[in-house]
Amino acid sequence: MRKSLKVAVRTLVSALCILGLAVNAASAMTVQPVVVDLKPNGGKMSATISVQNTATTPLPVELTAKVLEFTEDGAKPTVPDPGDLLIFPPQALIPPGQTQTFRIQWVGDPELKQSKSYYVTVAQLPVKLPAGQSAIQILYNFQVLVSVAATTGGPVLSIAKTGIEPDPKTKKPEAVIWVQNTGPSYGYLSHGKLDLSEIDAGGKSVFDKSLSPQDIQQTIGFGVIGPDTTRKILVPIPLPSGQGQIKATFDAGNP
Amino acid sequence: MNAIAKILIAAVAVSAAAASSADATPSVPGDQITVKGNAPAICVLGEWALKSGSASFSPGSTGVATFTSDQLTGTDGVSVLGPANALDFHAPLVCNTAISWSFSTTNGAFRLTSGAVPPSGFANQWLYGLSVGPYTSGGVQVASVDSFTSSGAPQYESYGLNAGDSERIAYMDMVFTPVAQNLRMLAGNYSESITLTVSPTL
Repeated sequence: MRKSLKVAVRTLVSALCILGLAVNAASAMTVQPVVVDLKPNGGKMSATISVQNTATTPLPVELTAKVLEFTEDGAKPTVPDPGDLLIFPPQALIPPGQTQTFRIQWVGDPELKQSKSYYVTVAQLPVKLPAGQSAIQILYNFQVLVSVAATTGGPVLSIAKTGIEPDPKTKKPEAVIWVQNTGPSYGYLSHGKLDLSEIDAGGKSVFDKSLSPQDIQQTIGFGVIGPDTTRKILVPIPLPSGQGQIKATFDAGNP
Repeated sequence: MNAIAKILIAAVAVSAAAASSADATPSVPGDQITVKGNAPAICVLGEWALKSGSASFSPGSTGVATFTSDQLTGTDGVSVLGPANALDFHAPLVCNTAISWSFSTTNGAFRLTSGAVPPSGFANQWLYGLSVGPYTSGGVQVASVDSFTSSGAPQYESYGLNAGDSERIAYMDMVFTPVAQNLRMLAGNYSESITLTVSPTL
């Protein structure tokens, strides 16, 4: 029972802390959720993104979508959505203190063979500058990840290979894992458990770390792996040695 | 009711919702109760403010800094705008998940909006230095700050932060420093737009 109560308290404290983020920034644009998962048919074909304007001035925003392309290095936005996502309303002027809900709906192929992902940008629209003035405008945008699963088949994630590379900033040795997704749908590394260990040249274990889903999200991020894609991920945890071998196992748990 | 009060009420409401979604398991002896909840990834982007610098500034979700004509040119039409006119903007940014951030410039210069081409000895734009980075509430730099001098062409830069660093960010800071030039400026209105984009780290 103690364990359950601990979980309960932790959950409620987390919820309050997150909502506390909004309290700390009273004049702000709050965007949530920042990750949206859709299905190509049935009841989960649509979801909403809410944008709250707690500022004292109206907030003009526009939502646009770009297709994400998955590569070994991650994902990058490419071309504008050809019309598979319906965003409504596409623009809004959110009054001070109000929240605007935007509906994102999949209107593409209901028999989607391979999942698709998009960045939906919540863009603050530039204001029209007063006549006769010279000015600099600074705008803030936010991008929301929207993914649509394949009609049948989920992600199948596994570790394809491992290595050690220096961190680009700190130069300290860190584990590199290549995560392979052989399934037709995108998957999240942060939905499973990752066990890492390092064996030195003498065969001795010098590092052992188990990362829970929460740890992965905190350390790496969502860890999105596209369908039929292998992604290289640097795990930003310093290793004791740059000369050993990395063993990695991934347990997808119960997706 | 002010905004903070509304948010507090929302916080209570969401907490109540989390509690109401609890899975009670009466079949298990020993009065065990399990409460489940999912805290969403969320980001709060604050309004732009002018931290320092001499320009007329309109704060807001879109910040607009306006230079007066005598800050741009002297009575002979020659540029007087330079590093002394640097502007330091900042805007709160709070996220509970790993984020990446990028910025893009529309012109890559503080440029004449009419698009007129300058004859020899005249100019239609100022280049500028831009320094952008995330900071903690105590003013400590989180991760690296990018600095560059614009080239007159639109520019895009992107950076990633792990969640540990993301959660330390309190605000983004951007310093705009015009490059001095001893040139006669074409008459008209000059403008530039700089967009900062925040994304969840994929």
